[in-house]
Amino acid sequence: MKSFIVLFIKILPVAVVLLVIVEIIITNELVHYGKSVQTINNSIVLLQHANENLAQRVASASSLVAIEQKAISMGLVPPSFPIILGQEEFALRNQ
Amino acid sequence: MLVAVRLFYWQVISGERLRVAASAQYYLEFSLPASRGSIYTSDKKPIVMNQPGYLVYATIPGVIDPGRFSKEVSSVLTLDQKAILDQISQPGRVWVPLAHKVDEDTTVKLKNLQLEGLGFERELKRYYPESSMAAGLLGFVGSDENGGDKGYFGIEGYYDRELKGKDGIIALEKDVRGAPILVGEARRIEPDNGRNLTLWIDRTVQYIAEKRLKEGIEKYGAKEGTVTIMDPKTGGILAMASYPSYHPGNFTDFAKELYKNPIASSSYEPGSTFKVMIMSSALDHKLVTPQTTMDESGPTPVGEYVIRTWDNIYHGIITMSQVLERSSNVGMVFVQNKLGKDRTIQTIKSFGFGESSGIDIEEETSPVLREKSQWGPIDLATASFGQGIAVTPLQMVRAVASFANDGWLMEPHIVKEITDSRGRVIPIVPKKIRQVIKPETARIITEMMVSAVENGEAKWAKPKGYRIAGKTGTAQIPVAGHYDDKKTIASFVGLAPADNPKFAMLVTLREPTSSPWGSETAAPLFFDISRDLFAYYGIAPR
Repeated sequence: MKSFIVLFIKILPVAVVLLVIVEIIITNELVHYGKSVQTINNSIVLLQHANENLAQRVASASSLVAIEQKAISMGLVPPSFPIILGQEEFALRNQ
Repeated sequence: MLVAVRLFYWQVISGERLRVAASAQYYLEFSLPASRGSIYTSDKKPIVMNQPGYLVYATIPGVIDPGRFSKEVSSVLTLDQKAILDQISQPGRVWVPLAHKVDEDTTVKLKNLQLEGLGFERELKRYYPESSMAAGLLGFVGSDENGGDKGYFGIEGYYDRELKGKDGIIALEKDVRGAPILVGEARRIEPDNGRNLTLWIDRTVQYIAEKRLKEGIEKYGAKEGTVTIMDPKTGGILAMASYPSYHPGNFTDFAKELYKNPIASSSYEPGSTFKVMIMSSALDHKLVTPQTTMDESGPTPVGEYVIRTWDNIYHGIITMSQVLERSSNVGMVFVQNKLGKDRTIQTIKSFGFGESSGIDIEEETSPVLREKSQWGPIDLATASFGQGIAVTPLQMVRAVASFANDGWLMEPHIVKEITDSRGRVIPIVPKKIRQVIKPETARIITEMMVSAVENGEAKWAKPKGYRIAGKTGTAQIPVAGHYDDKKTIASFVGLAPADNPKFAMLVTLREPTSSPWGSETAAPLFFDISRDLFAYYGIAPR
């Protein structure tokens, strides 16, 4: 037991120095990862912006105003609904 | 000793100040703005959404040549050059906003100028894919007292809290280059984006209503007009069109009077369309039947007044059905006398007149009904044919819609469901207010309205092969205490198809110049819209 304690006391400074070195290395790596996270966040924001732009373009292209203009340019015309006057007295009275 | 004193000074006395200063250097904090919710029509198409915009600002210490800066920026933003120069020349200021919600194309042009001191910050702005469609019920987004977005009028105003969402925040330690330190202190609260709204509004029905209304305004030479289309079973508003209107994206370019939705906030005297309310109540109380007769041999006196028919023509013995077909004011006075004062007033109130309908629009108002003691015989008589009483178009169409719903009055709604940022859907359940008339009475009055269309003044314009229940109305407009006989509000209210109504609709035209009569203006317009709707809904003629 006594020899174990003596051995532990001898190893302790080395262990402390090693742990400090390891912590410094890991912390340094994490700081670099922080920069990567920033880059990824920026990419996410750019993609979100691109999505918003696309959604706006899709909505604009599928609007009824756009569809109507397209239909007119293709030669389509609105249907006509004739008013049937027939024999109704009112229609004759108004002629 | 000196060292100890100095340490005490820096660590204790100046400690807090130094902590704050250090925190500003190594602590990065900014808000994560929440996106405002979008608004969709019932066919899941966006009618209001967000588009990228930018706040353009100047950091004054960075501006090298103020003259060149203001000239180039003003030419792109089409702003006054002197105003920009004055802003960036203000002493003591380091940052000035130049323009809000600038679109992407303009921002690219500004970025290409590569001006020192010109900065950009992203701000979302509202975009309307269908342009000014449904502006009256959508409202618009302006600024509040802090410069933040706030909805005004319509849906944007009523549901502002739901649409706004809640900004998030991110705070973390950063290194000298500004990159986050992962092992450092970090706090992140995600933004809670605004909720999306799905409306009862059908994009195609709204488009039809607006297009036909505009055509009708031009054809009949009217000053203003409205079209309101409602689902009678649910109270859902399928379309709300008014003319004139405005564009919510450029609301500052239009008169403020146009911001309020006239269908929910402007009143008018309904004229003969109101006859169906009084008639249905008399039927419901079994005071009359469609075959009950009355003697329309001439004008009828009411106190010191005389009530005449609209054309001053009298037909002798007529039935209640014919009272509606011929729109007889004399006949309606007969019906109102049967009802009596108490039941007439109760009828008006139970159909929802004189109270707000509860529609989800910010600016709804209701004309106030006179107190019971203020109703004289002439007031009751004129109210029986819709004069001397003010209603909103929304109240009118809601009341008639009850005939297609077994007599049940519904609470009208524009929004059908709300979807939160997690995709959870919250439906707005249709709400029954009260049963105004019995189901049997509703069927009888509907048939009488069909007869009014088939045999009335507007029968020439009715689409062949369809049964439509409706009533024309021509109300004189009160001006300075008397009625102007040349100015009218022409209207037509109806249900179609009559056997199982898909929609209830009210058309109003203010001061049509081609003809003052509802049968010659509002009725044909109603039928034109109905034809389009029959085709859209796939309802074939008999």
